[in-house]
Amino acid sequence: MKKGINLFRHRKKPSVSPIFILIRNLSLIGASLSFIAFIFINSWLLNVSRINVDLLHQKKVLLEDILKQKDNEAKINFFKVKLSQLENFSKDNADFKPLYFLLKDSFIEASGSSTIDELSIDNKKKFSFKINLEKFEDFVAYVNTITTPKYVQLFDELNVSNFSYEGDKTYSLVFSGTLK
Amino acid sequence: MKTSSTFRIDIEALKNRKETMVLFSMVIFIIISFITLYSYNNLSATKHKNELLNQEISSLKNRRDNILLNVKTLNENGDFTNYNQVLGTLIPESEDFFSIIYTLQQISQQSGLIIEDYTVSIGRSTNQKTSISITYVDDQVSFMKFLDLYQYAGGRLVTIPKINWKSDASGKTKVLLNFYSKGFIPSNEQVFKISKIEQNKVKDILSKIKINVLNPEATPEVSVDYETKDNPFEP
Repeated sequence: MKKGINLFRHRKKPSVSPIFILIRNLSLIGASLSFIAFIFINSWLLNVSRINVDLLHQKKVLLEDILKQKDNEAKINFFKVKLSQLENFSKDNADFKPLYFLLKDSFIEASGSSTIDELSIDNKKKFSFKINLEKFEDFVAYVNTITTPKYVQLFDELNVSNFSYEGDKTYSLVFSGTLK
Repeated sequence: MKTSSTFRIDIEALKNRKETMVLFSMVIFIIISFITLYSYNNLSATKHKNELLNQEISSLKNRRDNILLNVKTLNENGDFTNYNQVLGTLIPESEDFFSIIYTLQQISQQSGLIIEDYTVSIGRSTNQKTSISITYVDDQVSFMKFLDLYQYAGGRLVTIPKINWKSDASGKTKVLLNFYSKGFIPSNEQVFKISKIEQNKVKDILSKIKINVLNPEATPEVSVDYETKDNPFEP
């Protein structure tokens, strides 16, 4: 039998699996989306980089300005630090004068024969004072004065720690407490 | 042979245009994805850097503005070098016993309170505080004057932790005085605005200091023009 090649016969194309087509399409879509994202992100990056350069320049200018004021800055810091040290250390001080003048005012207001006998105050504003009064009326007047709102508001605590009447007709009152 | 025939089919498939397109688009997709991811990371890092820079710039701006404002306000109200000199004298960098003695002498002179003796109380002193117990001759008027001016008048900051006052006190009484010293450590922290209250406080202190701490040269010089002899054993 004679064999021959039929050149007109339609040659069968190799079959392409549909999964390949799907992968190709997905890859093309993915590549296109990635490209759009790439363009978008890079233009954003460009803008952000420009801002970065601008900020670096601003920082440089500010640092130069501060460097020019270095001496003044040191003086201001010294002032601030020393003043805060002064305020902190001053807390150790027992402020005698407010209590002294408060008592003086109360004596004037009570207008009696009262005199301060002893007075002590510490840096926590804790105080005690002893007053002497000659007459019982003065004693009542003084207690009435020191317990008026005008004076009471100046104390955190005010107690009568002792009261005595001595033979020479002198009334003694000892107050203690804490100033505001 | 099955293996060689499969291989042959794959080669043929690769030669096919459609399959090449699949491979090509996949490679492009992967490359663009990587570059995009890299750019995104870069973007995030730059954005973060900008946020930090913005914070730093705002703090630097605040610092510079505060310096300029403080310099302006302080110079308007007199030279603040003077203020610093006063503050530096009130609380020196390190303890200086001569200035303590000088302060005691000044307070005594200005108030009229006679200080009989003074003792350093080691137990109550710390590295920033020197406690000195003074014994004074009781005198109510002088003591009240002393209470009025002791805190700043001598040029050093003085505090009294507890005051006991007796109307009929006579003889000698003791009182504990504290003197302070502390170093200044410069910092690069934020410069805060100096308020009017702070300025007035220093001005007020300045007015209370009776000695001339701003110009030590102004204190009268001790005369050295006295008779001397070469031989100390000579009568």
